[in-house]
Amino acid sequence: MENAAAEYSIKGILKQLLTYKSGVFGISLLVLLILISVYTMITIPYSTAIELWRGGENVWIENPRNAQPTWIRYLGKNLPETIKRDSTQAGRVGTIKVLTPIPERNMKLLHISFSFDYEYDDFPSEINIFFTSKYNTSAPLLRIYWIKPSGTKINLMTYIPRSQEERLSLSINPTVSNRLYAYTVNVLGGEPQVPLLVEQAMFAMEDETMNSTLTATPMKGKYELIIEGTLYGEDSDVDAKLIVYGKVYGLAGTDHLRRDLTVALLWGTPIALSFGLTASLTISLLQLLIATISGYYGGKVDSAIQRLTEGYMILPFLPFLILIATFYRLDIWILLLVIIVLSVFGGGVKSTRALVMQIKEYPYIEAAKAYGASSKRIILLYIIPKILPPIVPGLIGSVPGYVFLEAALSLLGLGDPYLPSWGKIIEDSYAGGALYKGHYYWVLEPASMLILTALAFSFLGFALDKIVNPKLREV
Amino acid sequence: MTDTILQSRNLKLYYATRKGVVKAVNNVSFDLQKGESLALVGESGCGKSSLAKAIIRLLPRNIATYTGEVLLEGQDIMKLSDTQFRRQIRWKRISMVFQGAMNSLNPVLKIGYQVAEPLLIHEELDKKEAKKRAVEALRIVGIHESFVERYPFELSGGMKQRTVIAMALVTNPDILILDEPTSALDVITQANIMNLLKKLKKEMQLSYIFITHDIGLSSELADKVAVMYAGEIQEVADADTFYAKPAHPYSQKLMASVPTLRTEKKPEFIPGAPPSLVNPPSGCKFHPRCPSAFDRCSKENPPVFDLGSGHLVKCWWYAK
Amino acid sequence: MAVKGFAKFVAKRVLTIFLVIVIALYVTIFIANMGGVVDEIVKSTIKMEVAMRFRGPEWQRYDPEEREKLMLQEYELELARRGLNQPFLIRSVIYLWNALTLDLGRAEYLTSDTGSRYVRNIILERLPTTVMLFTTATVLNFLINMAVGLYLSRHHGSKLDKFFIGMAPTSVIPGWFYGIFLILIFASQLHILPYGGLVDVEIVKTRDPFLYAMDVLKHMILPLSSWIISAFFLGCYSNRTFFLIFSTEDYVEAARAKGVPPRQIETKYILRPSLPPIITGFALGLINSWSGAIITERVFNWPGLGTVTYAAINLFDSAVLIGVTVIYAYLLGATVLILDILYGLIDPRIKVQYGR
Repeated sequence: MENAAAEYSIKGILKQLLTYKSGVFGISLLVLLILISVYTMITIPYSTAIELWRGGENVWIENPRNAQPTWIRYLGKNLPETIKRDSTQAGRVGTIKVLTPIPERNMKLLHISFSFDYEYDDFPSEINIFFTSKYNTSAPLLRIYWIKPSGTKINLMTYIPRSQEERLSLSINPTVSNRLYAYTVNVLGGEPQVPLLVEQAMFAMEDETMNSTLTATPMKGKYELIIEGTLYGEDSDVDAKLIVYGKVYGLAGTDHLRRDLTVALLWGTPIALSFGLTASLTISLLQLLIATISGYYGGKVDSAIQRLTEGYMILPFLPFLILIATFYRLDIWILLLVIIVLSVFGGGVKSTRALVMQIKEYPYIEAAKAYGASSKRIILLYIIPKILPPIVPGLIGSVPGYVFLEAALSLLGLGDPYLPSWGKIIEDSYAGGALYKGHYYWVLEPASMLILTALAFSFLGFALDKIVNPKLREV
Repeated sequence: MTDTILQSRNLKLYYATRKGVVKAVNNVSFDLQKGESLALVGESGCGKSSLAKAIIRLLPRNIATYTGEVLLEGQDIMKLSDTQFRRQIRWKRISMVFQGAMNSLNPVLKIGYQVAEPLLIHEELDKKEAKKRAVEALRIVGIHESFVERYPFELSGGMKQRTVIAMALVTNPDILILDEPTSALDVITQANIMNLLKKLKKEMQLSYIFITHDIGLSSELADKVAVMYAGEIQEVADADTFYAKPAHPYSQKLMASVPTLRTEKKPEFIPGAPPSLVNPPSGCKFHPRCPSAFDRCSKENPPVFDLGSGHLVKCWWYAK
Repeated sequence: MAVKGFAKFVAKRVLTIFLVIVIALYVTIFIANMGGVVDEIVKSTIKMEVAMRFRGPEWQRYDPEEREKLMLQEYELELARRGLNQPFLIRSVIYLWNALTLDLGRAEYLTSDTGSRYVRNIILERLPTTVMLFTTATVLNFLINMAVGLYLSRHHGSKLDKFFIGMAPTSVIPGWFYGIFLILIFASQLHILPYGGLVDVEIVKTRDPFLYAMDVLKHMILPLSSWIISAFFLGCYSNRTFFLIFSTEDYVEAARAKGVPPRQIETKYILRPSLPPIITGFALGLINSWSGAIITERVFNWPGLGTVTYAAINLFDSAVLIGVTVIYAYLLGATVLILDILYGLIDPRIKVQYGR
């Protein structure tokens, strides 16, 4: 044990860590997580993150709902991405807007044409048109047509925007739905077995596959949406934005509120790291202090602390936590405080106390006492430095426990109401029936992040344990 | 000369560890006569306990080499299978009292059972008979019958030590290996146990291999002394010869390090640290610490020289 | 003599544990009533009870306003009678007594399957399912980990042993988390096991107790597996290390020297002395399982205490939440007590200390 002190320099430990596979694994994972945290905090500042996460539909309206991550396409079907066309940006690819005034009648003729190539293996998830209209006397009258690659032109509907900003959701519009049903009947020459959804009918091959939602396949080629209209009044104008929502989005996909999951996945990292580390560090150090006091002073103090730890063992920790979290709606940092208070007299006190009892008997402590060192001095300079190394592996190893505790509380609906954390995503996905509906990415992404974090600390803890407690190496 | 009961020839026991091969017992040869007590002395970590384990074949898992001959009344017991060894040798012929005998008792079994257990295993006695013999063995070492139903934690250190000795004697073995049997005890208890051991040896015709780091203590019991250093036996001599005139420089240093009450002589210490058993020094293992070392010592490992009447020494100084 | 001593030991433990339960309940009440929550529960319960009394036909003759007034009077009287118009310090003692006697009041939203609104009924109805699942899980874990741990300690240093050492860190991932993956694989993908719940509605309809039991078992497979997988590597690894450490004790070495056959060394010299710490480990495992139950039940929709808790959180049914905490305090206390007694039976030190 004498030369062990020399091994406890940070450099020495790091060097030894790298001789263990588990140590290398743990450290590389941890470095990765720290890099992610730093990157996140720089590129998406805290306030932006909250705004993005709590902003509701308006922030994310142009994203598809429950879209899978884009890279999923490399594993299977060529799933559609979101296609956007905006008439305010006329002249860009596939976007034409012509406004022809008819001065004598104080009218304007509008022609907007959006066209795009569709080469995907699956149907879009949803189709919306956003109208921005300017008029004073009477509202414009718009006719919307859809031209498929086969040349079929379908009159989708006639539309009159009633306010300045309006969303036309084609997917759930009954008129569109009826027109497309008629169109399907026309193609099939009879009633379809299972009527197609709007976005399916709009993109389906015109053959017998249109008979059912199960058989319909998308037709590849150039599609065109035409909006023709009559506008009344001098300065009247209408702009439209077409969004054909895909089934994939970004690196991580989106959730049920169209939110980009990358935001939460990225921000979950610094939150998990700081939560887990703070909890583990504070609790371990407080337990260390209590154990030292208990072991060093002995007598009544010791037996009081011992009884307290025994009592703590029987206390229903999680129900207490749930009770407090439910009644007082805590944010994550107060929650952390409650967890610390509830764990301070936990099991660690007993094992550390046993260590202190051993060290207390060491001759050099007797000697220090003999030459009159104060108790405070002995505890801080002689005992704590000696018991610190053996508890470090436990400290590191218990970080995942707290990270999972936060996730578990989130899963029970008791997480921080504002912060995006991994546990929150899992809760959302669970509440949204992700496992039933096959939105596996929604569960698997935060789960993988949690696992990575857990394994990083766990492997590191195990490797440290082997270094600090050489006995384990032998057995 | 009396009958030789145990002979060891070129016994080797090496362990494989993370740091390399530890040569704990290296080419050890010695003879033990019937009724004789051989003291095996040396500093801690010199391989004394390993030698004991090699003789009674209690090996850890990380064995690298385990070779040589151990002849018990002429029979090479190294050739026995593990099961044969367990059935025929352990406790029937050779018993052992362990270092840290305080912990050699199972905390959850009663004293009586633990002493009687070897009888139940080896002699297949019924429980009543075995208990009778256990009571007898405990009586011999001076423990009252009433303790048979007690648990180890109810006994004092000395009593535990006596119990462990009773446990070793209960099967009437020929040889008793004592590994630091008194090192954890206070001086008075130590003296009591030593007297007990002397008495037992005389009464029961036992042969002892007495392992100790305490050269003073060994003088009380030893008929013959073997000095071990770095896994090798450096010197073997009759106790009288050894204490009067140790031949090996290491033995001389050991003797000089014992404080004496009646002379003015100051105890000396041996400079340097005990050698590593993984990378032992070349030549004579003691040469880096030896005051009388010369050229040859660092180059060649000395053979054993016979100084007459069984006084063996492993040192180049006697080559002339 | 020994029996009497042992009774003394048990009595002492009962007293200590009871004291801890009392403290736990008091803390619960204190925490809960910081926002007057307990007061509200008690008052609404009394109000309900009083209203029930005024429901009989003999009251129908009264003018509604008159009846209301009488009811209010009765309610005030009842409050005073129970001492609930006193300051909190005294009230809290009354609440403590109620909690100790499991008088947990009425739930605001939740009802038991039998339709009762009393928190005690709601909770006690669910307690057996939780205890069944998680005791089974802990016992299975215990047995599996012991057996594998023992095997590994015998073959220590082997490839399998090294594999277990390498995998041990994966056990930081809790059971409920593995549960999500198991559901994904066996329910969502393979459709061979249910997503969760206790039993299929269709099976209940058959009224066949055998089918019922088999279906419950089927529903238990995934939750049990998730806990077993989670504890497997670390559990086996620590048991193995534990046995290895115990097998380097001097008395094991001595037993080997004595010629005790390997089987007996394992049972008498390694397992037997290590039983007390193993029992402690089992106790901790059981206690952890009760707490872990809340989240695992949420994941598997297992209709036990955890699911009640989850429902209570979402409906903000404070009475039920407090009731759950009270039951948990009792559950943990009872667990520790039972294992303490077991410990006392096994450890000769306790037997002797109290026996002579």
